Amino acid sequence: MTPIILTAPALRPLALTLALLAVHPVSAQQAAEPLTMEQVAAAYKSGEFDTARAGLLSHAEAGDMLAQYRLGYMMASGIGGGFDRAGATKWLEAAVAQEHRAGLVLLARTYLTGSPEKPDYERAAVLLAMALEDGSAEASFYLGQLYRMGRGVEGDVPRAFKMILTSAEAGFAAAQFSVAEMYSKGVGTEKDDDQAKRWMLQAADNGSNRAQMSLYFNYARGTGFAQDDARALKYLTLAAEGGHTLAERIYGSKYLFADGVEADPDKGLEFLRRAAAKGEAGAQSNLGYAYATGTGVEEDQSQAAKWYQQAADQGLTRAALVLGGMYQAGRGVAADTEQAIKYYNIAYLGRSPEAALRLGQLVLDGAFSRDAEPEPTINWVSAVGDTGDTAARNWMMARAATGEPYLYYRLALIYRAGIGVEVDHDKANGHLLIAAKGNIEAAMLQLAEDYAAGNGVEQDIIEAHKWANVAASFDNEEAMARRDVLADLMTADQVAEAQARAKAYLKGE
Amino acid sequence: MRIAAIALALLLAGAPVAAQQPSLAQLQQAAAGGQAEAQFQLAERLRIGTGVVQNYARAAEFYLAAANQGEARAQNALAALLIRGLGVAQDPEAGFALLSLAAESGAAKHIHDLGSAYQQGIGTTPDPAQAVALYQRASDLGWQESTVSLAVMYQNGEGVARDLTKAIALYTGPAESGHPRAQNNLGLILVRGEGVEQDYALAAEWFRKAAAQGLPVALTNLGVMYENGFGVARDEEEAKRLYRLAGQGDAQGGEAEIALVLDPRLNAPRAEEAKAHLMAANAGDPVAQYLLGYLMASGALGKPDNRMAIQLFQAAADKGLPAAMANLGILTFHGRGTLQDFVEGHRWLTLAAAAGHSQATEVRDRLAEKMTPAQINAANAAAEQSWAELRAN
Repeated sequence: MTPIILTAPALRPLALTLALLAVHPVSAQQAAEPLTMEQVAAAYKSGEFDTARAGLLSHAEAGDMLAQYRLGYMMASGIGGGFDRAGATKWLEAAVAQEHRAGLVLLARTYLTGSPEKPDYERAAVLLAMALEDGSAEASFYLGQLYRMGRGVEGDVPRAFKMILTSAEAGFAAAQFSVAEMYSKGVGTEKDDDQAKRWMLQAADNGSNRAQMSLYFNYARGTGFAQDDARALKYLTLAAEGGHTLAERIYGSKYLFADGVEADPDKGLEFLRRAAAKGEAGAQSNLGYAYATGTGVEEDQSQAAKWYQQAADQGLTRAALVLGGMYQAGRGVAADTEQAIKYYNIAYLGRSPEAALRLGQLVLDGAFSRDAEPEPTINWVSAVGDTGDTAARNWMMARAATGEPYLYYRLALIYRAGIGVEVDHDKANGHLLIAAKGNIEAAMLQLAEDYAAGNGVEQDIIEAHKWANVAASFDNEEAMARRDVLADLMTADQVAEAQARAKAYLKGE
Repeated sequence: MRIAAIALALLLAGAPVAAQQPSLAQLQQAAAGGQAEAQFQLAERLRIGTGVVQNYARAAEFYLAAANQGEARAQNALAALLIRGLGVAQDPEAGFALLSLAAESGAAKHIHDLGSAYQQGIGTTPDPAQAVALYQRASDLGWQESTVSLAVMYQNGEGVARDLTKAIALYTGPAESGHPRAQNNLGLILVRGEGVEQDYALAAEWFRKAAAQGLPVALTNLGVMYENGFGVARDEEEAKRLYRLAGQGDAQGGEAEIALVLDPRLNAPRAEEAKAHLMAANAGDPVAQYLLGYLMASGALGKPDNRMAIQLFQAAADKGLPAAMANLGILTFHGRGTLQDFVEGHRWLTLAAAAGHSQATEVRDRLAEKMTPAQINAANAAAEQSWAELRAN
């Protein structure tokens, strides 16, 4: 048995624990005679992992070092049952206490992962140092990482680099990736792009998914390497097949949407599903798109809604916008304005201009009002107004009159640019003045700009300086810069007059 | 090439202040008694405004009294006020007449100022030849400023035949004894290789010496040398730094960094003490208000909060703390956290100077270069009134 199948390179807690905590049926044999170690080995070989795991327990309890190690290994790897970090630590400690040197690194890693308890870096460092005495390349990598981060040992980055390099030279893929990264950033060693590239290629060829993804991006964008689509695809394929989540999404999308490859919808969907199952929002959203549009799969709006929902609930803006639309139209889900508003709002907070428009239209249609939050409501309807919509403009006008100076500013911009109305500079100027009175700094800045350029008003540099200065008095940095630029073009007398006007304006004269 | 034009400065103001100073009351009494020297000294105090509220109008009255008694320094100083219209109605012709009168005293400085008026046509028709003659006279009396101005006339062929050898000879003495304008102009001649072999390295050295004395045009010129790698190793960072410094020094420095002033009697404010200052400031302690205001405006506590700083300085200034007045003036002058208002800014700096903050005088006069005489006069009048109110409180 190869001792370490668990080759995930990074020291990351496994997020998949919940999904894999399936309840396994207790094997019938367990109730009867305990299995011999030979029977356990045979069960393992034939893939009956739960049988093997159950069978190991009595031997481990009886003090069999190998059984303790194997049981710990299966618990740490989630083989033949769920992950059992605490159990793994317990049995591996027992095996190591009996001088099972090969168990040192695995035991150290249970301390590094720490789940469900807190990581114990000190204990991990001690175990790794012991394994290092046996020349373990893995131990050299993990201990190097501890030196790099200063965890459990005194931080020492150059020493970390040396240890990780040793591990890389012994062929440990994760270390090769780290060495590439350290050369590329100059961490613990001189920055050296050639070495970085060399190690990155080696790590990728040695199965490091992170190195493969790094190469995918570099070849695809032509950064560090000459742009090369074929190589990019090669490494993306390797990473996706190796289970790298982001790679699965990108790879799946490529084949589903025939992006640079010949369309292969089945392959595309398969990889998107893999990433989506691990919670990758982009993949979920793309699956939603595939079902909604019937791309590579039979159109199925309710499936589409289901996938979009998962992505939107993770806050993905584009999915939230589409899902809002589905709730509004009752497509794939029962029509539900409340839900539509909820998802449009998520998209709006993600800065989707389209979401603002939809929400604004809903307000105008009387579908809802958000009087408790006037600010977003005003922005939504103003977004509709900016398209030249008359109803929106009327709403803005009525609402402005109730004491919303910001709306006068937005209306001024509409009249100034003539969006859906005749250009009306007098009206724009009048609205800007009202907004400025209401302390809307943007309106003051607009006035400064209009007077400086003679835009719809008679050019008047003194008036421009006055407005920039008034806006600057609110600590508006853009206004300060504008004021100072204007002053450079003015005589001392003009500046004096502008300051006097600004002062009089603020005094209400 | 951005080498700036030769620096020309009309040096009418800036008479040295007497070393040993009688009290204000003593001066006022003696001035009222008709003593010309006391009238002149009192006028000087009022013009500079340290320990007394700056008031050009009142300074002009005492200069006039002394001038009428034939005091040449007073005639010269009053001329400067008339030429700019500070404290009096602007009247360059009357100013020119007074400059002529003062020059008759034979004092080199007054002869120089008259020469300068002829050169620039202030209150009279420009007469470069007359300017050259006067500069020559003052230079012969050992007035270095005139030697340099004379050199400029020779360099430009203004009022005299162009003679670069003569110009270089004239610049050399003052340059070597540390005159920044001479150093800069000599550097310029070396850059252009006019009448002398072009020598970038030596030119850079002269610019460096002048720049070290803060002459903005020299800072810019040295920056150009660094930007192009003329006579120095090319260094764009250094060039940028020098341009920034040049911007800070001259009157156009719109984007210059704002330098706040400290209270020389107190330790510099420290960010760690902000919390303690906040408590005390809320309780109305003006020193804490000033210290906290300084920390807020200087950015020592993160992004500067100028509006809050203005409020704090205002509270402390109202209680008469000079450093708070000075900083309130500086922020108001630059329009940070409040409306930019030169008159208000000048008023606060004048009050700070009157209350004894010596640095405020210098800061105010540098900033006042951007102001019109009418603004300065308005600020003087406003300061006079505020001072009376502050004393009443």
